[in-house]
Amino acid sequence: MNPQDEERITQWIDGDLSDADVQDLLDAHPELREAKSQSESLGHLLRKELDSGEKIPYADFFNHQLNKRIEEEDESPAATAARQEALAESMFPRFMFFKKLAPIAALAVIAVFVTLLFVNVPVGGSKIVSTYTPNPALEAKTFYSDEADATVLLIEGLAEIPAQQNITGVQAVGYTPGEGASHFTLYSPNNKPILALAIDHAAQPRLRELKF
Amino acid sequence: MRLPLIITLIASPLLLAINPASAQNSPAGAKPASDAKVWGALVYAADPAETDLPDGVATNAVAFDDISTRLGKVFPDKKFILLGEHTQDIFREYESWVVPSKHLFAKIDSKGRDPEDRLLLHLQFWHDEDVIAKADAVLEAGSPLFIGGPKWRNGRLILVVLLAGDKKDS
Amino acid sequence: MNNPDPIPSNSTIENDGRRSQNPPAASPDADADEGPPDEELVRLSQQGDMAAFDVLVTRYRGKVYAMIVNIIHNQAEAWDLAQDAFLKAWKALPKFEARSNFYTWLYRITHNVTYDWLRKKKIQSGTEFDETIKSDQVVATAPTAPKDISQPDEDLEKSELRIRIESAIDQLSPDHRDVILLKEIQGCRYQEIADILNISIGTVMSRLFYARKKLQTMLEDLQP
Repeated sequence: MNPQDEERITQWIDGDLSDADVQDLLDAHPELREAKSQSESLGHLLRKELDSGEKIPYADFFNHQLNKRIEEEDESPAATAARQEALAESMFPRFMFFKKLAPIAALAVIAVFVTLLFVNVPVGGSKIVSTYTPNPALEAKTFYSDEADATVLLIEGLAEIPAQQNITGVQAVGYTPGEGASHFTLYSPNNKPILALAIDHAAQPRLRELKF
Repeated sequence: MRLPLIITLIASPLLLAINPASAQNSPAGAKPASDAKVWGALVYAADPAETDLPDGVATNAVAFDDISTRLGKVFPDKKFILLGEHTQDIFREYESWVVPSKHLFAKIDSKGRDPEDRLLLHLQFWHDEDVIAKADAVLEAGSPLFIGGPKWRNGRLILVVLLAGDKKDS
Repeated sequence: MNNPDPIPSNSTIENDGRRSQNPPAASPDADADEGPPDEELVRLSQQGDMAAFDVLVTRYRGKVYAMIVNIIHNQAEAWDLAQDAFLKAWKALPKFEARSNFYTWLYRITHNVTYDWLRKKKIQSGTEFDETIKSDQVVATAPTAPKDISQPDEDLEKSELRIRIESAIDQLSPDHRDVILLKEIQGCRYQEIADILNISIGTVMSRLFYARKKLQTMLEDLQP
C-alpha cells in the first residue's frame, strides 16, 4: 500500500472521504470496512478513558498563580511594546530628539531597509524563516551572505567545548526508516554499520557508535 | 482473540520493518517516499596558525573546496576541516536525521516543496543531548545553511546543511 | 532576535499543497466558551489587557492541562507545565499575527514546553539508551502546584482500562503518540495537527494510519 493510499484510508476512516471515494481500495481490500469499524471503536475507547480537558485541578488558583507570575515577570505585551519603542528611540536618539524630524528618520530607515532588501537578498536562495532556542541563555542570529550564497545561523551563548575533548565525525550514507521505527542504523559508504540512532519516549535521540 | 485480517495484511510488513534485524535498516531496503536528498557535514573552522589539527575526511559527495571557499566568506581567516558527513534522503512521511557526528547533528521534518521547488523544512539542531535551536527554513539546492555551533580548540564547529541537486536560476 | 517559539503565525511556510485543506475548526469546547471570540481576546491581550488573557486562559487551561497529562501522566508536573505554556504564550503574544488559530498556536507552545521538559528530565535522571519514562518515575516536586494534586495512590484511582490504554500509548513513538492524542483526544483537524507539529498534512495522515494500526494491535483484546 503506497503512502497516498494510506492517506486516503485515513481520510475515509475519519469521515472526510466517502465509500465511493475509496471504492477502488475497498474492492481490493474488503477487510478495510472492518478496520474502519475498529478504528472508530478505538477512538471511542480513547475518548471515553482519557481526559480531553474539561477540568483542571484548582482552576481558580491556576489563573491566580499565572497572573501573579505574569506580574512578577513584568512581561506584558504592552510593556514589551514600550521596551521596543524605547529601544528604537535609543537607536536613533538624535532623530527622536528633534520630533519634527521623526518622519524623515522613519523614511530614511525604510529607504535603507528597501535598499538592503534589493541589494542583499536574492530572489531565491535558502532562508531561515523563524528560530527558537529552548535554552533562554542561547540566542540564534540569522543572516544571508550574498557573497557566499549561504544562509547563516549563529547560535550564541553555547559553552565552549574543552580543547582536550575529542570531537570526531563519521562518513555515513543514508539510512532507510521503517515505518514509525525509532531505531536506525547508519552505514558507511562501504556498508559497515557505524552509528546506532534510537529515538526514545521523550523524542530524545540516543546515539551509539558501533565498532566492527 | 482474533487478529483482524486487515491488521495482519498491513502489519506484517510493518512488523518486519520495525524488526532491527530486518532489511529496513539496510541501505538496500525498500525506501519510503523521499522529498529530497540532503548533505550534512561537521566542519571545524580552525585558526590557520593552529598546529596539530584534527584529522579530516575526504569526500566525494560534494565539492568541498567550493563549500570551504564559501565558508571563508562568512568565517574569514579560518581554515576548514571536514570532520564528518552524512548524505540522507529526507522522507516525506517521517522525521529524518542527518548525523555527520554524534556530537553535532540535525533532525529534519520535511513540509514538501514550494512552487520554486525549494524544500520547506522544520529543523532541530542538536549538540550532544540538547536541542540547541529549532528553525523553520526554506532550502534551495546549492545554497547551503551554515550553522555556527560551539567554540572548540582555537576555532569553532560548524554544521553545514546542503540540499542536493542543481541550483535553479533565479 | 529569535522568536519565542517557532510558531505557525510567524511562519511564511505554506502547506505543501498536495491537497485542499479543511477549513479551520471552531474553538474546542472548554471552560469559557461563552464570551468574545478568541480573535478579540487576543487583540486585547496584545494591548496588555490581562483580563482578556485571563478569559483565554480559562477557555483553554483544561485542554492544555489534559494534553500535557496525557503525555507525561503526572498531574502536578502537568499543572506547572501548563502554567509555563501560558506564560510563554503571554510573552510571545506581541508576535502572534493571528494567521493561525490561537489555540493551535497555544498547543504548539504547549507541545514544545512538554517535550523540552521531558528531555531535560530524562537527561537529569540519566536514563539509558532504550528506557522509557514510566509514570511512577516522575516525581512531583514542582514548587508552584498545589501539593495535593498528585497523591501516591493516584494510579489506584485510575481504572485498569485507562492504565492499559496509557501504557499502550506510551509504547508508541513520540510522533505517533502526538497525532493520536491530538486527533482522537483533542479532536484537532489534520491542518491543525500539521501546524502544531510543524509537519505536512500528508505526514499527519500517514502517521495516523500507522499509529492507529499499532494501537489496535496492542489493544485488540479490548475491542468488541
